[in-house]
Amino acid sequence: MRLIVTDRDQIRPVTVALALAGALRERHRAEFRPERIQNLLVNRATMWAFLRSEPLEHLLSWADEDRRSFLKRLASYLIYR
Amino acid sequence: MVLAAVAHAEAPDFSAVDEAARDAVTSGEVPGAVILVGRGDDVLYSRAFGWRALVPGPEPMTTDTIFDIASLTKPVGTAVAIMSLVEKGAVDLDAPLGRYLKEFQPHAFQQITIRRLLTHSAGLAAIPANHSMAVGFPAAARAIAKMKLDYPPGTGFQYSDTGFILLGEVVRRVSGRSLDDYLERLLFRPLGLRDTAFRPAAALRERIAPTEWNQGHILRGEVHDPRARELSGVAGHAGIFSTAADLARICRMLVNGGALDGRRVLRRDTIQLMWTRDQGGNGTRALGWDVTSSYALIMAPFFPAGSVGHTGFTGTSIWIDPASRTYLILLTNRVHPSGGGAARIRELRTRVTAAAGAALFRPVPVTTAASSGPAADVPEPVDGSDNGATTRSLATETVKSGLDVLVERGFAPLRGHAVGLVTNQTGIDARGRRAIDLIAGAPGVRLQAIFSPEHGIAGMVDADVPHGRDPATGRPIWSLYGPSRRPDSAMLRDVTALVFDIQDVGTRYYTYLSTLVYAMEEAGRRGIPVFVLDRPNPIGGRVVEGPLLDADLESFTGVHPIPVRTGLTIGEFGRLAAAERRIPVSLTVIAMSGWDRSLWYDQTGLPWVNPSPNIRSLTEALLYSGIGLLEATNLSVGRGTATPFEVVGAPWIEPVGLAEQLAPSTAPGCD
Repeated sequence: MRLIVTDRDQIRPVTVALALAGALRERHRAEFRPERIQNLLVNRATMWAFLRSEPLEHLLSWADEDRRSFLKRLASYLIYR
Repeated sequence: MVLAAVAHAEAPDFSAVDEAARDAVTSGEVPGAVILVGRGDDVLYSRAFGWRALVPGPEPMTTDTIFDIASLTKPVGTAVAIMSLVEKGAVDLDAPLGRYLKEFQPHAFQQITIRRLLTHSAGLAAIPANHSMAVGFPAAARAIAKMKLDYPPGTGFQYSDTGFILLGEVVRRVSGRSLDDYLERLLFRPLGLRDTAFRPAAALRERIAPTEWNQGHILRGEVHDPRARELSGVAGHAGIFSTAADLARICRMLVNGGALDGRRVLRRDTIQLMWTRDQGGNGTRALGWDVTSSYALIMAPFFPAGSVGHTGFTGTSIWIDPASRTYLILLTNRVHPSGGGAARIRELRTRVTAAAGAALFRPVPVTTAASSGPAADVPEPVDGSDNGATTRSLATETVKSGLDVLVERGFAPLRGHAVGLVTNQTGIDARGRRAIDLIAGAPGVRLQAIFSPEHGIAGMVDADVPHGRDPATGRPIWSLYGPSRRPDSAMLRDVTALVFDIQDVGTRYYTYLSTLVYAMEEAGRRGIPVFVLDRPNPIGGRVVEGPLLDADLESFTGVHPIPVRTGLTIGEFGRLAAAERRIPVSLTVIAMSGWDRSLWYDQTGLPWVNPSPNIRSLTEALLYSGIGLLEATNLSVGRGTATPFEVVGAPWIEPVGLAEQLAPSTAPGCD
């Protein structure tokens, strides 16, 4: 399957990957082995939710909590507007 | 952010554990398996799958099958025995081994401590020669003392059966009882473990899962490990036979704080000490237990932070979450009847642990605020500085990289320095000149050494990178992606400033970030200042996406707890990492001019150079920040094709239905 970026400002590649993985798990549960997503995702909360087949919105809500905390952390290290 | 993970109240759904075990048996990955999950005093799940034996004839697996648990002997046997001696004051964790084994009294062994033996950081070889064990103790200790250390004690990590063989002998000499006798009195008998023993009795034989062919017969009730066999079946590294139910009683004793059914084995604080991550070695082990070493990464990422466990060669494993008093026991006979299968058991362990973890644990969020969406803009710099950038939307051909700025300033910050330059093919200026050549020719600056990251100095290598020499300058090129991923003292000899000039792609798992962190740490240790020549985040600096990395699982492909898509330049990441990791390094970022967070790389006017072999376009760099996550699964993400990360495939995918399911509303900006 080819992925075509139609709007690079709109696309959220992590979301695309999780949506794709969720669809594969739903459609090809016997074949798809998603566990090793955790090799690079390295986030237990998101991985547990994914493996429980929770809706994509739940997975993203965990990431969103993380993003908020990160945005607070990084402000003093930014160099550019 | 997750404060802790807790076992949830409703009945866990272990159907995915069933699936994983059945698949493993059906595919022949293992002949059979017994899986037990417990929480506190409750057994939540206990099932047997497949076959206890295939040779000489098929025997069905049962939950009471006795397994040769191999290296689980280390944590549940030897470590518990040593900690009981520590608790009694008979053994000091930080005492040299020579205090207990006279063969190790010479000065050369002074740094081999009990603690380092327990954390596999004592410098000992992985395994001793079989024949040197055949003589038994004490001669075996003399034989090990004659072996050369693989590294100075306390400076590294190497999983070592040798060290645990010696710990078993420490138990014997300190207690006056052999390890099996000591554990029988300390652990097996008090907990009523009737199916647990070194050298199990003949009466248990029919329930024992046979292992492998050895000299014309199948081992059954005789230890599989050849060194343990030479030591008559009793050794500190392997030798215990047990059942899931007996191991569950040991787990219950441990998670209950050292006692079970009124019989105390260890004090609560002793268990806490045993399970505390030790900072020695590479900081990934507890005393006798694994936490997050490379061996643990098939299981630890699916149990909460703070979990401990171990695996055994015969296909056994235990993982425990002390906080929720939850444990998983997976016993297989994967070596039966012809050995092998080490890679395949990794799949079963991961699947079972992932399924069990997902069924058992739910995170506790810090807040419950509703999500505002998957990503957001990065805020303004707190000091208001923007290094000449404005918020204009397009600034073609106005951006100068940190290297360009350095050239413009006549290399002033580097004057008088002998430079070590960490770079690759992306380290070029706007005119395409190499940073290597520019710094080599800079007035008042000496190029002392060159360091290359993953993929090498030319960005073409997809394997470990050897050291080399730059033909143009004659300077050595030290690989930071080989046996060592850090610059060492020999590499940094006479270097007075370390300069980093590499194009990042804005994704956490791109290893150039790790190379920068390691370089800053090593430079900081030696008082060498670091200069990062900044470059654009090619996919822009506005969007941050994806969850943070769990901090206890840091690795070379995830060096710091930041989101997947970082939204940072390499210079900004360096500032953040140096500050948050408290790296004592003098860090200067030579900032770009003309760049602002809204710019994509193709709006900078800077020449594009593939930053690594499979990132050949800006689109691929963008997709890599998400599709790269899928690379370790059984999908192809297009490596080896003309468009890596732009295609996803597997023989079993039905693409039309999949594409229809991924509606634009789910994945905006992508078809």
